[in-house]
Amino acid sequence: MALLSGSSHYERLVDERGLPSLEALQLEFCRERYRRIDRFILLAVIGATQCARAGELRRDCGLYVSSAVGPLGSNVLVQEQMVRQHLLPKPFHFVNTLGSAVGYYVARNLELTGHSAFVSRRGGAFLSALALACADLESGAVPQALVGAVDECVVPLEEHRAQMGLASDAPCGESSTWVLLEPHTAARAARRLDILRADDWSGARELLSRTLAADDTVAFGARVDVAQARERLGGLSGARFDHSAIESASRDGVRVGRFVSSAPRGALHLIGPGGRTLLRIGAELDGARDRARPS
Amino acid sequence: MRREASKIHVRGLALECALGRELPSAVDALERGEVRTTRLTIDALEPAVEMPFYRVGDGAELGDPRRYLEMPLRVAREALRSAGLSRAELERTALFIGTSSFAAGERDLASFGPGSRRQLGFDPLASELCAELGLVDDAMLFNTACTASAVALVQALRMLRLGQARNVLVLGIEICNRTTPAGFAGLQLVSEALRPFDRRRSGIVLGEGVGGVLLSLEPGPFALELRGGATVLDHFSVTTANPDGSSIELVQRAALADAGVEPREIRAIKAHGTSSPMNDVGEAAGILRLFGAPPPVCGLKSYVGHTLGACGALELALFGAALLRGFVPKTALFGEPDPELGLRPTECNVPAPEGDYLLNYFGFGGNNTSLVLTRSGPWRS
Repeated sequence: MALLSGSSHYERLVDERGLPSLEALQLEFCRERYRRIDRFILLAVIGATQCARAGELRRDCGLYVSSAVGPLGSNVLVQEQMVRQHLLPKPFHFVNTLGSAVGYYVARNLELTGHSAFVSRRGGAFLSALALACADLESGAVPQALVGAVDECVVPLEEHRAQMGLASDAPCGESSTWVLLEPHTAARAARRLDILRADDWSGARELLSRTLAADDTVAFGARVDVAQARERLGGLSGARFDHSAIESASRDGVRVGRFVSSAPRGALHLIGPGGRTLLRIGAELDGARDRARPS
Repeated sequence: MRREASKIHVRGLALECALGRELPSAVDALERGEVRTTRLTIDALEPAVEMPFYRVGDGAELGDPRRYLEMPLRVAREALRSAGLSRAELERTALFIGTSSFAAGERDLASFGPGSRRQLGFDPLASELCAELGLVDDAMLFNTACTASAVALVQALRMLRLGQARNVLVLGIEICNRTTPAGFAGLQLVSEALRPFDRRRSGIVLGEGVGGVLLSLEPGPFALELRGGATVLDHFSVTTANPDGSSIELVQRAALADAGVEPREIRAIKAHGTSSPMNDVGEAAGILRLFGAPPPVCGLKSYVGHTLGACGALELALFGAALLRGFVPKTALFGEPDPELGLRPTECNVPAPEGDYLLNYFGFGGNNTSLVLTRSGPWRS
């Protein structure tokens, strides 16, 4: 269990006209103009900094970055240099293909000196990062956790769709979603965030039936067969399901970002593959009520 | 100083690397001080790039894509077998994978010839591994460059301490592809010989390999415990740790504090020891800042190459097995001390008593990790 003390959410649909400009956000959130970074890193730095400003960031805050496919643009660029031009990759293009480069620039922008991890998975990376962060908060390994889900879009979109295995007319998007988490013992009114475990869909259903309230939203994570999931969860009367379309590869991050930024009255229950992981983000400012419940 | 309530055992170990494809034979070769390199040519570039390379002697073509599944699968199976997991335990074992690349190898394939394009990411590999091993497909992939599987070990350790898992299999995977060697050649970091802490060192030599470490709340045949670990961010430079050693001192201190161990209790240090001019400066300074007169320091990369994201698990497996055999390895290819470092690594195998050992791993992106491994007896299998 953790408390969500800050968040930020950036999400854009990308069309054939090109990538949205990040110039204004860069000026607002980057302490310096980093010359050698790519769009993936820039999205992360902007999102993380915006989130950090929403709370009170500690320098020893743990940093957990997640992504479905990582720095796609730099990977494509390195391919171009090597395969089509038969050239050695440019040094910083190659360095930017490594997941740790993003952690470096976020840490530099925020002057962080704590723990850092980068996790990737087509589905479930954000839930994994949140689970790691919550565990580290619970054990006292980190005093605070900044957790992000970042995925970029590359142009031309034909290249993006080919790399992602998408249909030729599939909508494409990019996103950067971040949350700042505190230990559950922190004395402040905030949304409560829980990562719950179940053995399977019936366990997930049991957990949901105990915690689902009016105004709550149920959503499914990446790699979940929605029709099958709904069938196995059948009978959750009154549940409101969120099946809205998501264009970014960071599906779970976007779902959380949209929920938190919409400031709803109820809670979000996001269920991962197999019903084995449930993310529950409680209703705003009901921490006292939520904290009284057993995990 | 925090000390964990429960012991986290190294219950299973396995590897494939340039020294051998089984742990006992690899440790035999390590004890003999064998160094085996081959040549790697990237002829897709103009001009072609050639460099020494530490390869796994599996008889397959280096570019054979089947190696991406087969090599990790063999190592995972052996790590699980060595641990003696029951069927019920196996079904509840978590899988953590550390690698420096999201899709190297696959992205090479994707780029050569129409119709061969495959989706980016290690996702298919993780899912296939889980299916083949009978594990639930909730594998986590860690991508923090050269510390990837070391970070995975730290996170696994914490998860086990909290009782959120009873067994975690950590795989470090780095298998030969064209992009990674070309990238390091572009950085001008590749040398003809890997000589940790040597005055003549001029860069790294890449290697491939897979390391498998099964961490568990239950003991197994290996008298080893992962006692502590820490990862600390360093934003001095994206490609090197602070050469004054301050950030490396910090991560070592954090790992020792996590383990509840004092510096004087450390019997020997497995250095990251990449042989790059800057890494060894920062690491030597960090060791000297913390230890003053340090215990024996050895480097393993002159035996197996720099296996990047795999080195966390792979070097733990190799070093741990050497400790169980009772020796701290000599640092192969070291010959001339560097007076600027003030640190002289092991020049012969030295006895490894029971006790605590420090393992260092540093990576691009300011990602520094240290682990504390405890040897509590001899090799029992």
